[in-house]
Amino acid sequence: MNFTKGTSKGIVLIVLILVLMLLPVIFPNPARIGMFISCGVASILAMGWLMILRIGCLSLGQVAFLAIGGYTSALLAQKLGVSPWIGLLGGGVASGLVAFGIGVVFLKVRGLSLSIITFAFAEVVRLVFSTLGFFGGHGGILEIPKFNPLTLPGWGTIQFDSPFSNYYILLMILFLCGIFMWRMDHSALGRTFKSLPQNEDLAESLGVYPLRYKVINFVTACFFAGVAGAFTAHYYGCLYPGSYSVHQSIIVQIQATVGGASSVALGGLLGGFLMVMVESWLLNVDARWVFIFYGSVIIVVTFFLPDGLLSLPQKMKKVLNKT
Amino acid sequence: MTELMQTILNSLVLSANYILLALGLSLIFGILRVLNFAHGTFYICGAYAVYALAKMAGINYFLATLMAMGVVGGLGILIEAVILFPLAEKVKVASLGAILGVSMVLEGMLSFIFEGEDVTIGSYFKGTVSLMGATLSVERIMVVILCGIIVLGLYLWIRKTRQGIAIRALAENPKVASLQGINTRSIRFLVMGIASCLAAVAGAIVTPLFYINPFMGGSIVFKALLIVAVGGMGSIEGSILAGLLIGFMESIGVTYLGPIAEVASFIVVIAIFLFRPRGLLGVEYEFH
Repeated sequence: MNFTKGTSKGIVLIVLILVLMLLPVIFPNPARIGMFISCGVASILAMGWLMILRIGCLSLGQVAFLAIGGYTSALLAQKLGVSPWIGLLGGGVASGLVAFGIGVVFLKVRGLSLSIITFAFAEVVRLVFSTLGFFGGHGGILEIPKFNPLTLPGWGTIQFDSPFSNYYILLMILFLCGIFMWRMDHSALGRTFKSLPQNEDLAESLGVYPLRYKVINFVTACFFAGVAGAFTAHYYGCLYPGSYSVHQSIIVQIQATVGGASSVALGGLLGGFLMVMVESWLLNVDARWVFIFYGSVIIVVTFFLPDGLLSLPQKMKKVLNKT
Repeated sequence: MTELMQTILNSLVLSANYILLALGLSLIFGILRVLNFAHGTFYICGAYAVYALAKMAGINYFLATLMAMGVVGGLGILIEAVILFPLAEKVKVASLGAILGVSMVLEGMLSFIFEGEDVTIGSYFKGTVSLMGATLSVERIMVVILCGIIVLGLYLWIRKTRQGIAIRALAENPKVASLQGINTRSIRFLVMGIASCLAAVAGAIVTPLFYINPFMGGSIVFKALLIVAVGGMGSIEGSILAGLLIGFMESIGVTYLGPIAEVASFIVVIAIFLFRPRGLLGVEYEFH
């Protein structure tokens, strides 16, 4: 058998997809499945963060787009009676539109100033949601409708009332997001993104209009964050503005950095799943460990594995070759 | 009248707090070229140190403040030695991640030590004073005066002394400064120590006034960062001006408009970023 690099990559991918599909079958405990759902949401956010990193922006406000998606979909369902399934798309589109507005205005700013702006934006969003009565104020929104049953011709009716069935909704979003990000990253568009932080002026002189590509990138990442937000709103059935704090945005960054920036889709998936699994185990022990865990992990990773876990195999190879 | 005077005094207390933090951040950014996200946690560490010493051990408040300055200053120097200095040659992204990590570890440790409850040592200077028909608390006036003295001292130190000149030289051009025989490493330690002390003082000031909890640092450090950015990176006068601006805006806004006013201050900040990216009094900095 002649294994080329391409086929081994394909096998890894197929195994990964199968494992993700079978996770709730192997671990049927509902609490476990709930954890996998959190893992998936974290992965989508981390993928978005890594995508935005490609254009040289360290976003500290990803959680804001999760919130916008969630609130949009929840309000659509509660006030207008829109089906949660359409709400998923609605949440994504709302996040994407806001990201478009923000992006057109602010993505001209470079470097750390942009990080501060993304943070300030996230704080504005959180404050608006937690002070305006229309959005439920500090108490948030309760009793958001769950996903309604789907009737498929020939299959009968599928109920979405358990973590088990909701996991597959999330998995669908996760796959869509992963494949989209993967394709985008490996296309000409992805190469343009990577060229921007290296030398924006040079790219501009070669006929690339930076703002356009930055906005495309930003809107894509935020669209999926919005869809994930809409999903969490309908899955948990409630929203609290307090859960979209600064710390959550920092945690997204840590998860993504731990995964590794060499591949947007894989890095986000690895970082999201691994970190949230450890986090939920620690939550059972003592919630205060979570902070110490995230903090020490990012310090260790910065020092010893700056390119994340994805660079680990290459590093190991180097060490083995030396000895 | 009373309400207006009290609002002004509250604004000054808030501004004093912000200015102490923003000056530290600005100094650290000028010399270490790091956005010190852990600064808010240093501030909370200072507040908790004062709480532990003054309330639990029963030491005099001023002595406790001095000791807290020592503790937090030492902590800052330790972090510089162990984490920031080794990362100085690497990309800025690395030190940003590491400093966020430091801040989270410290927050976790504080919530372990102090059980994560909101604490305060309660009002230290009791009594009020009547001024132009308004009743004001002595304590808040003391805070404002004390902060004024500290800020003035820091300003004179940076403007007039040899060390201050070395710091300004290093902030302006690190390479040329080290060619002139300025010891970059010792200045880095000095700046980190002083900035951490300032954060501790700011923390010590709030312990008698407000309730503190370990996770307050996150939101206050971002306020301070915004102030530094509005005032201009590396400009002391700018930080003071912006600190007063944001402090007054927030305090007056919250008194007369309600909590939504905080949004307004963020929007002003974003607008300044957009139309004057280097801040009110800043010079252009390249940061990557």
